[in-house]
Amino acid sequence: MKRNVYALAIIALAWAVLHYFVDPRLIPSPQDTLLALIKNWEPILLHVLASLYRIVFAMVVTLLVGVPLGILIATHKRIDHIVSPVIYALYPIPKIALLPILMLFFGLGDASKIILVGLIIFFQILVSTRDGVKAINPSYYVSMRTLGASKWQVYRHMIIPATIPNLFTSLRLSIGTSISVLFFAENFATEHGIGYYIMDSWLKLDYVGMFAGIVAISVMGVFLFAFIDFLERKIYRWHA
Amino acid sequence: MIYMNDVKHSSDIAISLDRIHVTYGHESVLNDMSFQFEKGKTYTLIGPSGCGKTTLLYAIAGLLPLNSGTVTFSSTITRDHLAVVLQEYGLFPWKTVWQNILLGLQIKSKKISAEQERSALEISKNLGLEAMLKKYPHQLSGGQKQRVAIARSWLLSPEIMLMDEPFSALDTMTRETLQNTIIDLHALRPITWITVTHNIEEAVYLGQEILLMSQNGGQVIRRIPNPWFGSPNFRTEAAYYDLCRQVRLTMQEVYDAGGAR
Repeated sequence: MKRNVYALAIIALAWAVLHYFVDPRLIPSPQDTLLALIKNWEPILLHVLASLYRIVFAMVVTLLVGVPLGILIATHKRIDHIVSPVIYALYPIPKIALLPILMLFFGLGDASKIILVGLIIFFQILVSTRDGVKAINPSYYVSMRTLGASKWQVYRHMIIPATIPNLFTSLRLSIGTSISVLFFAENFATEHGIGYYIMDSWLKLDYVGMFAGIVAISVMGVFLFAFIDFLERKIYRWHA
Repeated sequence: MIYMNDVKHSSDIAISLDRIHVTYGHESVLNDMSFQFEKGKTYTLIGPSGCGKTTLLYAIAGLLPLNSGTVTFSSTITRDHLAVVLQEYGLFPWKTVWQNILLGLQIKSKKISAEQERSALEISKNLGLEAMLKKYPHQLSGGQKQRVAIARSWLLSPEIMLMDEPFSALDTMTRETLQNTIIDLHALRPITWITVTHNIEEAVYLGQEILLMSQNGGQVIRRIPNPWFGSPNFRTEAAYYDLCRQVRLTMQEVYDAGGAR
């Protein structure tokens, strides 16, 4: 808690310095921005929720698809040989470049944006799940066999739990990228989402509103990370 | 020289190896090995690295395919009555000590009865684990981890216990305490107990019969009986030192004195 207060104070201080010494018209003061945020909390919250919905939806679907697929690849050599090169070819493509294609196939609405975010998270989840399973200590397999575990029991007691630590790391890594990409995607064919709100304020030359939006997106990020930390404490209990 | 067992009454035999042959690549690790392990007796397998001790254990446990030959258990024993303790403990980091102890039962019987839980608690107390049941393996010392692994195996009421260099990563004090634990457990319920080790003192302390494996070719070439097994304060008795010396001399003799000075 104390740490968070310090962090906030440092950010506010740097911001105030920029406001007074650079250009007060381009960079509104922290207090004005805060007032704007409080005054417009209702529309801003709705925009944040629209973005949050897209990210969380994408996250859940991606986990449901990516984790089983990652396990499948890791446990089947032949599938690994075929699928892994495909992953390596697709992984480095900036997913944002796919937005026009996604909009062509999935329309202008939420679907294309959710899929875009999903693609970013998907590869991280897939690769880290695969590597998590591949990194399982071979002696664990021996233990499982000597205890007479069935195939399903091996999955339940060993393979699935082994993917969890990597899963949280990859979620954290991909959330930052998802937010920035979503910000861009929300400039197209939507009037909802915090990305839209920021760009709309900019176009109206409402710099205070724009900064309020930026603060909101940052708060959203903090909330998402805190949520992942919370899940990690609940699920990844054996954390050293 | 191949040592053939005396013919025993078949009901006294727990495990019977009949000309088992195991190769890795082109190399024979176990070469038509035949041996009979008696019920209720403890054996220690000792020999130089690469002599096939671990392979033999894995072959008995059914963890690797045989090229030829058979492993037969006594009619009252199946593979379900077999428990294995590995050097690397084989504990799962995502399970607490308690969950690790219960895992074997959970896998074998699906639902754990109140009575099984009671016996799990009892063995935990016996092995001095009751204060750490909620901890995770990474919070334990090596010796404590191995206790958990032993508790997990013991709880399955095995008829045969196989241990692969179980204490070689532990310091001397911890190792000796755990060796005493094995003696106590065996006194509690005398089962067939085979321990692979590369430590002469351990081989002498834990074996009613000490088996020397040949350097290559995978055969038991010497059987040294230990009539003092389990006697109180054995570790400080002259007989213990004599036996260690005898094993060492035998090893020198059969392994061309290589490094066994």
